Amino acid sequence: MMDFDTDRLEDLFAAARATPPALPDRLQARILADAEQHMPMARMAWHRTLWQVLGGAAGLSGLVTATAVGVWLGVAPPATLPDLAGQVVSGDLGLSAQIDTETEALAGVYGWDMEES
Amino acid sequence: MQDLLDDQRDADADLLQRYAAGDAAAARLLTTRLAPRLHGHALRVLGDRVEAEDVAQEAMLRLWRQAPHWRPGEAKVTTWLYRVVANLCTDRLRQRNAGAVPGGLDAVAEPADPAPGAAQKIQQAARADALQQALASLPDRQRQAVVLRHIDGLANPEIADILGIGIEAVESLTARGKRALAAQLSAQRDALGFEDDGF
Repeated sequence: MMDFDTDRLEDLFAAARATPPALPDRLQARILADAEQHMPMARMAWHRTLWQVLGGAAGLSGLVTATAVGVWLGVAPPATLPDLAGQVVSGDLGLSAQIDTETEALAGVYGWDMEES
Repeated sequence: MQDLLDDQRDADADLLQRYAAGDAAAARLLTTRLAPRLHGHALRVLGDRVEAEDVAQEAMLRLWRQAPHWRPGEAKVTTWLYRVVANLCTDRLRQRNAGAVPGGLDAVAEPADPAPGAAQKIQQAARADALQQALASLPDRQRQAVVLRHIDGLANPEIADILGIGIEAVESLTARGKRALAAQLSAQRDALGFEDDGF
């Protein structure tokens, strides 16, 4: 039997070159996702940088939860906690009474009054 | 021709610099230009779709990581990538069971631009499968050299650089590879529709 000649082999190579396998869409998507993930951070768009600094979706969800809990405690504090928001709104923080008490206590400790010196 | 290749080298390096500067469009262009060639090469050498996709993705991933450190003018992007792909393919081939024969009938993708009639299309597919089967029968290094030279169309010096061997070794590998392919395919000459050509 005659060997496959060079021209026929070249024809097969040429056909292979002319009909390269198409790049699967899923592979292209994976490659582009890698490219986005590994793009140098300092030069990324500001919103992408902020997103990564906050820790992505997980970090942002934690931040939102903590904020919501803080607002909730401020608006409707449990009965065992002082109503700080209500005191701020009413202006009755009780600070002057607290300062007077502390001044008297200090005078007792040091044995002299600041106004005497 | 050399000018065209130089232009392409510069274009790839420029795109890589743009990617390193945060240009997402450059990543898409690089993927469009380079990934099909890497994927096609890995598919020819490994004969396995899943492995070929993994290798192409890994090679491009290494390119993304290398981008900030890339020094223009030192290397050609395609040569660097082919070298990565060749090494990844070699690693996977070494890990394979020695008795397993890659390159099944589904190893080669369907032609990208099928315009001919049904009979001609079937014959083209049969020829493509026969070529892939014959390639799979070659020793690993021969197969890599033949694919780089005759399907990817690279020059011998570049293949030598990719495979880390001398140019004479490349010539020897491709010559022996072609002889082995011809011997393999001659047995299927009639079945592949070459009997009417007077040979």
